[in-house]
Amino acid sequence: MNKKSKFRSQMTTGILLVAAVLLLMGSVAGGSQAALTYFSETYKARILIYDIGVTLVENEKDISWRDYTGADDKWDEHTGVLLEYMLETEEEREARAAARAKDEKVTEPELILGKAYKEELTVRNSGNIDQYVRVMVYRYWNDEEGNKLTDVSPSLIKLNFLTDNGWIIDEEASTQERTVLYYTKMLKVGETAPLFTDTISIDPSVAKKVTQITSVDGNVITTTYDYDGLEFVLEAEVDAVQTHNVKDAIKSAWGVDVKLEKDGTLSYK
Amino acid sequence: MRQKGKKIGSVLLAVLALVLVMNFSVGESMAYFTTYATARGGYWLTLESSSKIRERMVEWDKHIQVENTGETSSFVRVKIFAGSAFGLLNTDNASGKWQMEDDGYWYYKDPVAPGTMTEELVISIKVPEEHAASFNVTVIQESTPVLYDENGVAYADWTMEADVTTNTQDIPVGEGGQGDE
Repeated sequence: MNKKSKFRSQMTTGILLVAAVLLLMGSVAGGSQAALTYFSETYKARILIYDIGVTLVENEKDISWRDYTGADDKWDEHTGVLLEYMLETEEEREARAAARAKDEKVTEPELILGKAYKEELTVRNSGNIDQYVRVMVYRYWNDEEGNKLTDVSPSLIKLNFLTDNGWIIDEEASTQERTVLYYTKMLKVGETAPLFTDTISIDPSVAKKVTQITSVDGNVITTTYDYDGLEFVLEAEVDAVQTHNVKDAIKSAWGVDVKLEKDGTLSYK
Repeated sequence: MRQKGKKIGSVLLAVLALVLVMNFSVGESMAYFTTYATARGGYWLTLESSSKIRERMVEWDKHIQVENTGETSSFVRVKIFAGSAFGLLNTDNASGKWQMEDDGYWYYKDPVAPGTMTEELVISIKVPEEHAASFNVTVIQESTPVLYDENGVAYADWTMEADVTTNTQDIPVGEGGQGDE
């Protein structure tokens, strides 16, 4: 019994010793981990090089972007508004606001049917790795409640696409509402692609779509137009993908088969 | 035997762990660098176009002006009808802005902005004695939204005219007044 108890206490000591050694080793390991963390920061600094980022540019102004900041899945993101200054310049808007504040009579800017408004859209590589980009442009009409209308023609919202400069339209993936464009060349760091649109206009034939004419009330002419009170909407999405292993990357990200030519341009099948 | 079972268990666990680790690394290498940016914008379309005729009778002259009461600029034209008994209608187009075309309409050259009026078109009416107590001259007025070609030059497309409204005036001679209601 006594012998057994002695053995037990020896065993306890042994276990404690092992535990102490383990703890000690643990703390050493902790220390070396701290050292590792220190090193991994330098390592992080090195992978900073692989920050992907893309910016949608309208009339030489950055509208929306999403750039990786190099760590912890943090992105520098911004989503802006298209067509904000379609009818008036920033200065004109300020002048109008000032006049309104002074209770002066202000003539509101009018959307002129058929007029080609400047709408210069393109893409800039705002990351620090090269990339390939594609763009999806949506055009549609909304009613007063903001519901998308599927029975009014998106083709009356006329965008002038430019395609002899490296951009190509994927006709198969495009519909009346959606236009898919690829930039076939590699977009280098900091580089801005050529414009893929330059103007937007509303087809004057929207004014020909009249349901109800009458309303002959004394001397007043009133007419109801189908497109009156509707909102036309333009939406653009830019997608960027790494150039390394680009065939697989594009297949994985966009589900499209591409062929990489010797000069670095892509051809889409 | 029991010992052996334990050993197999450990080996299995090790294999499982290895598979998990490998799976994880496979997942890693499958991820590509991608990003995106989106934006949206739009405008409400106001297509309402309406106009009003303003008329004054001064002596035998009918002063016609068209006011744009809508929210968009429009082109206007007017046509004047009178019974054949009244003979000739002499028109005075002092501003030079009105132009008579072959179709019998007087066209106003410039677009009329919302809330503004055209220059006057004055019609002198020759009323024979027997009709002097009451006469009837009708002015038809039409408007159409201003359209622009791609170069921003304004034009009117009268084939898509808004509507035709007749304005029948029956004014006792000598009494002037506003023609609009």
